[in-house]
Amino acid sequence: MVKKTSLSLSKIKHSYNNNDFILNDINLDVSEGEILAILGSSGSGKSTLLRLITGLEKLKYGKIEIFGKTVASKDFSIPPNNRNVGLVLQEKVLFPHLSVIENVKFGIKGNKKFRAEKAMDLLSLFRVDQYVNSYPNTISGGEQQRVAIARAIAPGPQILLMDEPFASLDEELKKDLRHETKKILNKNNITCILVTHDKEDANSMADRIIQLKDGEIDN
Amino acid sequence: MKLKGSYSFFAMIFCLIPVFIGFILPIIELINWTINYKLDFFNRDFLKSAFNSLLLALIAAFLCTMIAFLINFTARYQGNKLLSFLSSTLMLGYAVPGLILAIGITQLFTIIDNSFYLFRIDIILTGSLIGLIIAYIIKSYALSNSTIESGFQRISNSFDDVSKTFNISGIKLMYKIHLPLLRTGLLTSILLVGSEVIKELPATLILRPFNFETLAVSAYNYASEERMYEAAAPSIAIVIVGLLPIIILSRMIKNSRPGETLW
Repeated sequence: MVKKTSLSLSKIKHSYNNNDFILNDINLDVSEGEILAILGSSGSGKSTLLRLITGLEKLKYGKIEIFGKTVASKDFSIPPNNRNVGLVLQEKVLFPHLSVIENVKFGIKGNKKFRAEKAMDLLSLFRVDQYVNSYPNTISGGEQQRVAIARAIAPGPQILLMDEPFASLDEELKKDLRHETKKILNKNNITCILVTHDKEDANSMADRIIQLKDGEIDN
Repeated sequence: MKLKGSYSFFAMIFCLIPVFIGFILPIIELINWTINYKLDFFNRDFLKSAFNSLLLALIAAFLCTMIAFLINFTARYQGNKLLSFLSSTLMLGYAVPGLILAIGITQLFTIIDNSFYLFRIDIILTGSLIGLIIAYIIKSYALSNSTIESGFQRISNSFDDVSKTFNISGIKLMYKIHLPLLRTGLLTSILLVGSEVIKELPATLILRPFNFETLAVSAYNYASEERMYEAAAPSIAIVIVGLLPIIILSRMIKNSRPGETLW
């Protein structure tokens, strides 16, 4: 069965000062349910590429399509909240004043019961359901990252974008979390773009790996 | 190097001189006047002035804090450079003397009231509390803004980035995330502006409605008539109100350190 293209990037170029291009002529298609790892060193433009896909950065050149729908071009941009993408970052971004379950419920639409049930399901899936009423500063870094991924998946995004999500974890935790995350993404057929500088992250999670070097895809 | 013995004692005495002359001595004298001259400390006029001062301080502090919060939130959320510029411009109000501000507001209100008068509408703005509150807000905006701006800087931009990917409005982000995280900053701003408003005199003297007394105006009136004993009560009240934010703020700062319990 031919899989749909979930994300399509055409002729993406980007610079912050209109001179030095941090991304140069990026063309990329990602299939539905595929986990794509973008490997690159610091400053290679991989985080900028994620910000462009999310809509946090304004696209100046090229076109971005999600499931065939143009979400950004030179003169047009759909705001991040209408792109149906989830975002997981390296740093700890759980809201510190909200409990674990309130964090996961934050992005879920629907009535109170539905939101609570969905949040509980995801917390069980990531094996952090025992911390439902705990606050982020009382749980470990690995558990916080599990909650952050659960929160990103909770609204049911079509594409999950992960920017160095395992960078701050120790090796044992990384291994577990990579495995669980991959399993959940595959089960729910969620397309994922994983940006990392760690080859081990890429090898253990991705269906396909590309290398970004000096703003260009290195073949 | 740590001072020891008599050096340490004299250093402490030297440091206490400004506190003694500027605070302890006048407070002792004011309390002495209040007690020994058997003046009616809590008379009706004093209570009315205190109520007026507190009411004005609360309204101005709340509005000023909300304006500073909304401007800073919008500038951050939308990356609006014009609003950031407007915020910096508004901060200049702190440097404008209250007297100049009062003249400007009086002139503006006269023009507006005159134009209303053409439609047979009586004077609305001149001599009302609105002018006074506007003057306080312009004068104190810098205090609110610096407190709230530094509060926003402590909130990671990643919170905003992640929130923007959820299907939520800016309003929800504001009241669910930014408002709770800025709670201490908002309270600090309200306390600082409130104590500033209670002390403000020139603008209050010019813009206040007829027969509307505040603690600062009462103290000034008594002092200008050389009735120093009567001036004692409102002066002490101003000192107490001015001290409260300092006590509360230092407790908040102490409690925000790791290992300290809240309140």
